[in-house]
Amino acid sequence: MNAALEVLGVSSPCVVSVELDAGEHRRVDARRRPIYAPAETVSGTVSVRVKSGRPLAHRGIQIECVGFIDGLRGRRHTRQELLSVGLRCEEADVIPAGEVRRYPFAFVDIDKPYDTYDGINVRLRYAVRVTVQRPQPYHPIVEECDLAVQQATPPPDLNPSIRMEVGIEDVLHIEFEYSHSNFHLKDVVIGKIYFLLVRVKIKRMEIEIRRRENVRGLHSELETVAKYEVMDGAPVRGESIPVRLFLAQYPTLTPTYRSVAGVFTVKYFLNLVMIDEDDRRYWKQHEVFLWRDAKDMA
Amino acid sequence: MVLVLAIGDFYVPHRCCELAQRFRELLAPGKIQHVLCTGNVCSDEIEALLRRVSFDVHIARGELDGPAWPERVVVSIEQIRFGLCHGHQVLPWSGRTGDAFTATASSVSAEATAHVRALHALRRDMGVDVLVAGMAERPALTSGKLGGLVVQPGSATGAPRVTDPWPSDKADNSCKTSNAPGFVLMDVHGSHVTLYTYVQDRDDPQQVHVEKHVFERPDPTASALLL
Amino acid sequence: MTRSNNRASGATGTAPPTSATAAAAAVFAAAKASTLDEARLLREALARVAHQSLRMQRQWKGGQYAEAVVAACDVAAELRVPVGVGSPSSTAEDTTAPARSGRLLSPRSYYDLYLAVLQALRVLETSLWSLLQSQPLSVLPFYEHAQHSPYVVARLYPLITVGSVYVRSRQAPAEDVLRDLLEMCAGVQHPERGLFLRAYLLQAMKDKLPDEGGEYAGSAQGSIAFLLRNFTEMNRLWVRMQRDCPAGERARREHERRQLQSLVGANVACLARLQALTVEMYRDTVLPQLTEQVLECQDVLAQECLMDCIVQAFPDALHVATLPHLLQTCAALRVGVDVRSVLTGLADRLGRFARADAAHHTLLREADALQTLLQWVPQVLDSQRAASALSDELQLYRALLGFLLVAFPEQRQHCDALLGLCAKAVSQRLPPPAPPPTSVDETEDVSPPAPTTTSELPPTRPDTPMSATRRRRPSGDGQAAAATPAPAADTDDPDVVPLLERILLLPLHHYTELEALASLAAYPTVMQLLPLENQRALAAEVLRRSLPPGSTGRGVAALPLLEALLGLVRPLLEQMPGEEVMYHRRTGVPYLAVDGELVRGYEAQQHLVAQIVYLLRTDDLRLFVRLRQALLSGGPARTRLTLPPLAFALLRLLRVYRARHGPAACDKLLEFVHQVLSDLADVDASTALRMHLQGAAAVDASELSDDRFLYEFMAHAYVLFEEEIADSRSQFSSLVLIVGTLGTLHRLDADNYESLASKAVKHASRLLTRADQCLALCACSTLFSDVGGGRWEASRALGCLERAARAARSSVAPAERALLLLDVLNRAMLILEELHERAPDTARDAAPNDVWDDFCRFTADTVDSVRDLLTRLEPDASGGKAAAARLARALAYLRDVRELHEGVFLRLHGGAA
Repeated sequence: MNAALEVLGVSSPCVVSVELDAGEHRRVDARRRPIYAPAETVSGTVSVRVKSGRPLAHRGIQIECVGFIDGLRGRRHTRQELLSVGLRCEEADVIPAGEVRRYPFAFVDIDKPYDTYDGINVRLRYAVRVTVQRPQPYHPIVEECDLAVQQATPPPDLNPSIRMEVGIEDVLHIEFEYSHSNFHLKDVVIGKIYFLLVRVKIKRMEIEIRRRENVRGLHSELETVAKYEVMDGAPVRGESIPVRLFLAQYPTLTPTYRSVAGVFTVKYFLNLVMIDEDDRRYWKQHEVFLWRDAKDMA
Repeated sequence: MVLVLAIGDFYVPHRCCELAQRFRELLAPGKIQHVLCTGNVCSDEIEALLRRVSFDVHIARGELDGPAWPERVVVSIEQIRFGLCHGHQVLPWSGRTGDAFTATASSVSAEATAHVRALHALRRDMGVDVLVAGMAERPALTSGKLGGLVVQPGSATGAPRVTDPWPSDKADNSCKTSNAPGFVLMDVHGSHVTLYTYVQDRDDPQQVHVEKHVFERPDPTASALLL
Repeated sequence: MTRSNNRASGATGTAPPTSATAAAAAVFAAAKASTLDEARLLREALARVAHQSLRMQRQWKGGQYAEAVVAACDVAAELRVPVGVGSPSSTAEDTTAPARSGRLLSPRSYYDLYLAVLQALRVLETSLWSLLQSQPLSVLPFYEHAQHSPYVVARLYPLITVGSVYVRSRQAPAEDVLRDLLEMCAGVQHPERGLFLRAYLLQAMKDKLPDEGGEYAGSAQGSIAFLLRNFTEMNRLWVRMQRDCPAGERARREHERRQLQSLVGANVACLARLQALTVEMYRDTVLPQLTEQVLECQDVLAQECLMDCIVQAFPDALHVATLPHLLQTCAALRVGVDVRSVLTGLADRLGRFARADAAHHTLLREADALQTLLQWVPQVLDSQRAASALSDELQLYRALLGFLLVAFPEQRQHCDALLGLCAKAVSQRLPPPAPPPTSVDETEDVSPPAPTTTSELPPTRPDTPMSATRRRRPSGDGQAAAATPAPAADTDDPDVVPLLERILLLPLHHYTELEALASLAAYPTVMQLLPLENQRALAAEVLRRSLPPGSTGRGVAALPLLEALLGLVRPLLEQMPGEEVMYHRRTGVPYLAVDGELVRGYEAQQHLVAQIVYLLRTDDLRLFVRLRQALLSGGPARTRLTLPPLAFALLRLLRVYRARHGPAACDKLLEFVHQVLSDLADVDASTALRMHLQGAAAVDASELSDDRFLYEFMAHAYVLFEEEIADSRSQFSSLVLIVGTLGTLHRLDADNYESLASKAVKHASRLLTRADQCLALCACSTLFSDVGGGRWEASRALGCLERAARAARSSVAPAERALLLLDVLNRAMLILEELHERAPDTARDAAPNDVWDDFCRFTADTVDSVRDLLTRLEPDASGGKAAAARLARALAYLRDVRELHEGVFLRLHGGAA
């Protein structure tokens, strides 16, 4: 594609790449982005390689560290900037064809207050952005390198267990119990479900982890992040079914966010679902709070 | 080697209970070629037993047997002619073995008593080398003056005689009588007969005394005269 | 709690989608298609198992251990396939899930799949184990990783596999891993899938349970708890299989459950194998929990199978210690449970236990096992009475009796009680027997019938030697038994009669003492429940066991014991309705017949009856009298066989009797002998005659002072000869026996001897044929020629021989004439020889020469007559050759002992040639 564009004379005349320091040793998140702590210095080198044949004339090269929240609801894209710190590393100049120029950079003491987040309706991103300004009528050449920011939070002071007796009168009556209400991301959900009354033929039982995003006061639909079967077959009265769910197996989980820059919140629920022989579903949802433990960072 | 069993005077159930278990074991099928039974079989079960011992069974009629069997039988085995007769028809009975003298099977006695003498006379008259006869209380072999042999296998069950006292004492468990159960087994080889007398021990039913004797038919020229 | 109806999302992922054609077929021909479906489904599942298994191995080899574990989960995920009976509410339009097309994998097919999965898991296990051997890895991550699968069945199988390696690696205490696995397995509540899963759990762990002397540390208590828990859960799943089962499916369901029975039982078997299991543990923990489960489940099949399993699995010593508890449980089982077979198994085991070692007896005694059994068994049976077959109940009694007889042979009253229970059980189940028909006829004929002689009978066809006379059966105390048909014969159950027989044989095998058997009052009662034929066979077996008397020890010496014995063998002693007596046309011997056909084999049984007398170890005449009375009730066909031994025994008693009770008492004995012989004479004159002769011999040997009885016996013999013996052959042989006996009697005084001897001669000369006359007279000659015995009357001996020769000469056929003369000749030669051997002095000197001469002359004359006859005979006439040979042999002997027969030679006309 690039080659084709080049023939037409509209392809990018140079290759811009960002190389972060110690990139290969850094932990990456589920999307293979390097993870940084909120106050951590972001440093590295930008290299601009001008392709052979034609020199590159530019009107300045700028390196920025940016952070923003994208709202993706429907067609309406909204963007709110959280952070933008720039460095101008070269004024207007002509770089001869075939030459490679390197520009080391370091953003020290910039605050990245929120965790990276990729949701259905909202996305919180951080990136190192390189802009090569070019004379008219050319568009500037922009290259972005995404970062991930994650921060550990201290464990909650109170972590009560969840215990609840629910049911439909004369049909189904259960009592369930989860060991905690707050879980860190590598935690194990341990629980038990007691069947106090069973008058329907239950086929199986699952635990779902569901997520709800709320962007600017608008609730999104519940998204099922994980499904985990905990029982196969029909229990009888008095049966108690163990639950042991390893959260670590679901890398897309994030902590619960109560308010991110006043723009969006993310909540998690555990949903206990029983499915009977006629595929009717009986469910009970309960909010749980996820947090990122320091252990999870290591 | 041809084995001939001489046996008889069972008297079951007329005079005694049954054939000793030890004897039943000894009389296993398939070993003996001919059976000469001196009679008084009395029960079908004993006859069946004899017929299991061998295919060739000859039975002479005893005084308690039905009319089905003959009084006398002559059988030739190898070069020996055997006569078979129960002996109650041969008079006098006085001086039977056990009456006048107590015969033991330890030796072949010369003919001595009136009854045995009469048996020898019968043997001569029948023209046989060996006469098998019953009516004895235990196995006895008697040779004739001029050759020939009378074999009395005795009673296979040791059937008591009427003169033996009834075991009325409670302490007396066994059926002891003056008679000892026995039979004679003859190994015929040409004109040569080896005789084995089997006598059950009175005290130990598992014990059987066996003695061996030899009989040789006198000589061919004499046999020509016999014919 | 919220309910929503979300069908679309519910059915996903239960099984791979099948083609629409198969689903359609299932709709139209559900029954046939279901099996086709099943086969195809299994085939596909097996293929996927093989594929995933390969993937797992590949990944493991590539070092991708976590992925391999995930692959193992995928393998196990195949076991999520629907099994058992499809949901009754399944709808036809939903064709995406195979579960909807009705029945799917049967437990049997599921088992095949299960085995395939297990094989793959075994690969995982060995791979993981060898990895641990080579690298110091922790098993925990694997253990956690196995739990990542979203499906519960899929993750639990590999979890168990990894768990077993975990235990084996000793990185975690076995107890903890076991507890965790046990708990996690609760996630599978589907009956079949749960059963198989837990079966795998047991299989993987059974060699890793902490046990006394075992490899793995930990308390055996934990192992017991594990097994009990697993058992409990499996049992509940197993019972649940039956739940909500439509009525039409029930039989098939039960069949399937029976197939899975061993999976549940494996827990119990495993418990029983624990070395650490002590009596206390078993009594206090294991058995109560097991039985609690059994009782709680309220399921007939489960109760039946599990009780059986408990009884069979645990060692006998434990059962002995917990007998009351076990029996209590049996009593509490549901109606319809085949508790008898459980108890039967228990009793059989206890019986074997008792037999195995003498020390076990004390153990049983201490545990009071017998009392407990006897106390509980009726209760157990009462709780189940309505539900089970008679044969099952009898089977139980059989087992109990077997145990009782082995372990407590001396407890005869209990044995009797058990037999009583048998009788009760049978009689309760059967309709009451019809009352015995009472008619005037039966009371008329009281005495045993006398045989009619054949001459009175109408002539029968020549080819049938038997003629029948129908007689009324003798009425006696056997009438009650005869009139009531044996009730057990009425039952439809073919097992009842053989079972009753086995029950009755048991005491026979164990009680060597007749007294012991006779003390069982209920024994004859049970016996009477059998059909007559079986009763008789059994009675015969009783006798066979009791005879010979040596084996029963003391024999019978008292009247009550004899009565008891006679009670036991009564079916053999008595004539039953329908039986009749037939008489041999020629000999007049009576035989037993039914419907005109001879009864085969009854003689063998009667021979046994005849031998009862050999059990009598006494000189008490009352016992013999009672025996005679009992024997007489059998009718002539039986007494013919049974009386001779009695008579013979009585005669042998004579000497003892005289010694103990004095000569005067012998009158009574001999009088009784005459009674018996007169009974015998009625049915078999010829044998009676022989017994009289034996009587004479017996009296002769006893030390009775006078010859009164001796004479009497001989006189009776003559009477029988004259009046009862009609057949000429029989007459001859009887006469020979009379003569032979007479010759041996020493205590007859001269007059009596004289009269008896002349009677013999008289009868001899009156025999029917010349041949008989001749031979009988020859025999009679010995009466006077006993040189050694002092009865030497030369003239009379010679007289007999001369009369014999006359009879011979008057015979019609020349050959016969010659043969008879040869007999006379032989007899004469014998007398000469006897004379010469025994009394040479008498013969040569003291005796008048004319006697010697007379004998020699007579002998020579006879030889001449034979020679003369032979010359006139046709050479090839029948008998001629034989006669010539016999003559040649006689002459050869004369020649050989010439010094003896000189006198004969001198008088021979033709010389010795």
